[in-house]
Amino acid sequence: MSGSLFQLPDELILTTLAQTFPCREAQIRALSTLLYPGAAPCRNLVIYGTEATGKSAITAALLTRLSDQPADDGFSLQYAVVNSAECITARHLYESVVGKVADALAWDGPPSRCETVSQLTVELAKMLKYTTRPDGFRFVLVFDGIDRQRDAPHTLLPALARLSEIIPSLTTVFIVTSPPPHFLLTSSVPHLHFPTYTKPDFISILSVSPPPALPNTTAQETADLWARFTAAVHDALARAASRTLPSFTHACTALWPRFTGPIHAGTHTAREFSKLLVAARVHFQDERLLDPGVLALALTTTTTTTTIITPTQQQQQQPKKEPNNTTTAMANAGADLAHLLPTTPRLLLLACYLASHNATKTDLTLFSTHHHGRRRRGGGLSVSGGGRGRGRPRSKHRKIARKLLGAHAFVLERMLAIFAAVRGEWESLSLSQQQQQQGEEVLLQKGDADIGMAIATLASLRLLVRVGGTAAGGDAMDCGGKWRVNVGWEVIRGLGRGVGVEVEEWLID
Amino acid sequence: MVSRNSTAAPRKRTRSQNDEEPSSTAKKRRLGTSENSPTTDADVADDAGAGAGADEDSKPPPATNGTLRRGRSLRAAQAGKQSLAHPKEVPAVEEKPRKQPKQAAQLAKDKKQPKKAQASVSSPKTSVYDVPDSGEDELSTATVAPRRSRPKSAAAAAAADEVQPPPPTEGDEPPKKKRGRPSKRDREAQAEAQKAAASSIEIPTAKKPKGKLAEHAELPKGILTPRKGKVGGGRPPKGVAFDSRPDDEALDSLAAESPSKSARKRRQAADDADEMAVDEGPKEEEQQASGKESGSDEEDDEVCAICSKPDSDAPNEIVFCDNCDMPVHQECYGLAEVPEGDWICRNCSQDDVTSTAHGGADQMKSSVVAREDQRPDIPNFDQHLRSAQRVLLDRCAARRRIKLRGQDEAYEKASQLVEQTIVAGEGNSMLIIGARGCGKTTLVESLITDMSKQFQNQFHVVRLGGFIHTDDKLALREIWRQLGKEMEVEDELVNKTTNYADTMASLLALLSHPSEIAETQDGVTSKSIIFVIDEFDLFATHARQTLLYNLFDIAQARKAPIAVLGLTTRIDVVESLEKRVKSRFSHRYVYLSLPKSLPAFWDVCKQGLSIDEEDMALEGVDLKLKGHDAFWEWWNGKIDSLYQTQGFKDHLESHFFSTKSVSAFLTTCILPLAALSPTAPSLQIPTVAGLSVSLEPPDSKLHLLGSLSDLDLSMLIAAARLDIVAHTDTVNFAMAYDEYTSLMGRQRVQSASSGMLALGGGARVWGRGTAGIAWERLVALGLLVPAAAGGRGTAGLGGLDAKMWKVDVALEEIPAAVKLNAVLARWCREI
Repeated sequence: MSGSLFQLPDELILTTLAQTFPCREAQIRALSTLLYPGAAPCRNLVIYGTEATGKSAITAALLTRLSDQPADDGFSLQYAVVNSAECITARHLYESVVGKVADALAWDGPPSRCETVSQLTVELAKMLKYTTRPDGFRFVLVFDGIDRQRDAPHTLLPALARLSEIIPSLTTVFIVTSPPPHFLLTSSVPHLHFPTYTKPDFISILSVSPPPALPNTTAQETADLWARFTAAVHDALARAASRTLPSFTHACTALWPRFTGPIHAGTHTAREFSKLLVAARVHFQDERLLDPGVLALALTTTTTTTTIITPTQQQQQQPKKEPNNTTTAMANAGADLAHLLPTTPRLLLLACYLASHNATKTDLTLFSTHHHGRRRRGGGLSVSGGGRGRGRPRSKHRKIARKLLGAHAFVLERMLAIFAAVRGEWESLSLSQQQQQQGEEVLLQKGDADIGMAIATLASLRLLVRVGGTAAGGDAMDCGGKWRVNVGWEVIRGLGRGVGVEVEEWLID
Repeated sequence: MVSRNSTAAPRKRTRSQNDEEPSSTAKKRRLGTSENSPTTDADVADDAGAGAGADEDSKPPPATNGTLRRGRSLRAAQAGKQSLAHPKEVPAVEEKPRKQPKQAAQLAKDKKQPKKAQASVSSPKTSVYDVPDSGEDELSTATVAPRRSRPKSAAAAAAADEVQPPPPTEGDEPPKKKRGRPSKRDREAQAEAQKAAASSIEIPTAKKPKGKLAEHAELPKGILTPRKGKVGGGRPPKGVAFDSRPDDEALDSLAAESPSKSARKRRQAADDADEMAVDEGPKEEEQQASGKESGSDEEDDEVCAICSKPDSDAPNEIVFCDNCDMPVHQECYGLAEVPEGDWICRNCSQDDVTSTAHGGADQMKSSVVAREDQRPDIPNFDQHLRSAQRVLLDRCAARRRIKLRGQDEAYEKASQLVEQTIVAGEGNSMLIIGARGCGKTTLVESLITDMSKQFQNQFHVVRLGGFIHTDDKLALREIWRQLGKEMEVEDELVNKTTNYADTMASLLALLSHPSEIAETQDGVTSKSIIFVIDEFDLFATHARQTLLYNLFDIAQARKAPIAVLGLTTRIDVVESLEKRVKSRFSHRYVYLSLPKSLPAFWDVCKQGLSIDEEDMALEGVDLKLKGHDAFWEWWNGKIDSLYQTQGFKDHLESHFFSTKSVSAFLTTCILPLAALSPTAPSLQIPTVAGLSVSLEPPDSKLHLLGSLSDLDLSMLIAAARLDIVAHTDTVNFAMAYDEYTSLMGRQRVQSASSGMLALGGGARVWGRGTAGIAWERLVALGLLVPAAAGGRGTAGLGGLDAKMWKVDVALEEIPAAVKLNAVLARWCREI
């Protein structure tokens, strides 16, 4: 009887949840309507929104509470959340789905292999369809970050969307960042949008947990100051550069001690917001707050709302972040690199950069001494035209500076030729630069033996990378082998200046 | 000379700027010709003499050195004047002489000096005399035109120039004279050292300049030092153009200590100070690495941010915010009096923060209250409503089938075919073709339901799906499993046959007519089997189409009574069948179409909002409950009146004209239906904007733009601009960041010159690291998609900088999708 009547979930659940997750009440209500067996449970549901908007956290929290609810009104709900970031392959995904569903249902069947969606369907049907369940029973299967699943066959998403057609008591929830149109290839699926937090949202979220009261200040005053402070941080940093809740929270917590420094020192009171703001203006322009290098150690301060989504992001961004971190680290330590490497590898690296960034056809112009009796350098003139940050004359289609396009592969032999051409000049430059004639001279006179060593050193440091099909096999010193320099412009410029070479003069655009 | 400086400088400033460019180009040209056709020393000297004009022409060729010194001093004096009049010009002036010798030194070492002397002598001369010399070449005549306007001062200058002998000039202007020289000399000296060290072949040519340099050897030290001192301290005030004011230092220190002047008020009397600030503006800007625009450099053009009027008079002055430098009128902003000390605008002081937080909640409540309306007087209204909601929501959420409307013919055809199979044991095959959401599955499923009512236990159903059973092996095993389950074959038998061939063989055995195979297994009868193959087109992609071949073969050869119903959206699916498969297919089709007219569409959609009389009992509605008829009469009346409202009609039409998808329309009804309660029983479709969330899918990726920060947007716009500006379809981070910084640089120059309001954080140039994070965010959001692997051969290598991406958003889409600030909007507009 009760199963035939419409019923919304307990209001108490929704209100407590709305307090835990401020500014998400509409989404929580819609979600509970679409998931609760007594309301309007749909077969498939897509939840989408950018990172750190509470998609995963709210779904999980709501499902926990709905499943904990006593089944006295005839409706019961079980759920399982499968995070795609934790699954390396599609098979891994299937088997963790089966495992988690079995756990949720306390199913004691033998664990079974599950290599395809077909088998997954069978296993799920065994547990959910062929086993008789009470009338108001519903199982919710959540695929978190399924759009980032690795090694997914292209039929994965449509197939998962068909699960609920085959198993009537199943609701499948897909949590994605941005759904492409008709990506499930079924007729209309409800899409629930978790929009980005707006400024008032950000502020009210952070106002939930104000910092402890400041000296000579009441808790209320501190809370008011905190609210205004977070709004100022939002305007200065979050809206301008990094509009996510974790980075915003981090910026606020990092800035708060500096901002309230005058209060601690007793020079200002908590009511003088404008004076505090002017005093702390320098800190608000501190870019390091958002920079990953500095952020790394303080990332633990994320709020509960982001704990689940972060793995997804990290998994996505990991491969790309890695090289960036090393690059920026190297850019900072550009001088260090120059100190760490001996002269020959340094000069070799410069030669590699030139080989990667100059076209072969300009080699004659740059390095030949035949026509003019001396080398003509490309000169900084053409390069500075495309230089960073400087304005340049615009034609209809601008030419892009070569060094912006990234390193090209070069043949080892060519690089060695360039090195031979510039070696004499550069070594004398570096000598005069360093004023250490004795030790260096001995090293430099050694000849070719240390060039091979230097190349091997650079390659093992990944400053120089072997490319092409022969990268795996083949002799490393094969003169026909293709290589590419793996360091950026900033590093090279620093390195060049370290040995007294102005690299810009050797580049032709 | 000094006295002339102080008087003539104001006007001189503009003129000398004009002069500077042509004369220097003239110089360059001349040098160029001398490079091409090597001239002798005598030639050069002659040339120099001619160029030097009347006061120099008596000098014999050997005196080139003297000419050089004289010319240099004149030129240097010129430079000195410029540097006095316009401090910012200094580096540029300095730059030219430095570069000049450097180029020349490499080709014509010894010829360079006289040449240069001649050139540099001629250029001050042309600036001094009204009438161009006969010795002057036509290039420098171009500089005459601007000069004509002020003959008097020029004449005075000429007089002064002629009277002044060289030695005093040197004594008077020693620091200026050195401006061009030291760097060149240093360079040459350095080159000398290098060449000596490297034992280069160029020693002979390099010697001459060295000797020449040696003559001036003691000059640099003695002259350089006082100049340095002068820059530091005893220099006249920068704003030579205006009366020097004593509070100049005060302004300076103010600029250094705080980025903006506190609560600056406009006064007529303070005009001079303002002018000073204009001169100071660029310098100050340079000093501030933070990139914050200072408000001081465009005072003249400062307009109120609200009314856009520049006037600022006593009762209604323009006030500047100390945080964001926003200028507003007192009246426009509601300030009774000019505040003392720091003043911060309401936006920066975040006063509105606390008030809006409470306001939002109140608004929500009040609108909910407003929706309450009369509750009809019907017994058991609560119960009626909830049971109606149950049925309708199940229909809208696709958990209950709705009836097929307007597809009777198709249904008849399919049902006849299936019935023949079940009753007469015929083998049949049929394709059901129609767009997504037009009711193919509904047709088949209601067919099977009807059949199972009619012919209980006389047939089996096997359901296959193209997305799930991705190859024939899986499909076969699935068939075997489903049949085994339905036929209650023991599990062992099902599990035993894991081999593809075995499965096939036993399946064929199972399907074949008993009479064909001698050893008929017990318990296996020849019941009819209906195969429902969803996404039939995907099965046609399987290798050799084995499954389809076998199924069609069985159906055609009457080996067993099976019906194959293929469901597909592709109208040309038969073309993809192999010949042997196609020939076994019966070529029976059923086409389902979407509703052809709006009333037909509404007829289907209506089932999601109302229940027909005959379906009441079927759907489990309690007919005997008191008030049943009254409730449904009331409810249907409600739906009919809803259908008459314009908003609902528009909503329905938009669905009809865009997709004709019934289920999409029904999805939008879920939340309004669920929101009904006995206290608020009137349905609102479409829902009032802002009250509830929509369940419709997003149109495109553009909704993501709203969640981007200003920096993310800037990077995206920069990348999208490169598409057009540089005509590349792929970009990497280095290119985009370069474009971003150059746009930002131009923006700052423009805002400084046009007096446009700097938009707080919008004017800030973010560093490479932060921009890298923004770039990664764009990648993570899918706004940048990786370019095809091997694009420029850099895929996967070279780190963040070099990896190539395609921008998934066109430049012109960006302003339409998100509200941009003025700066970003202009970047989108102006290529």
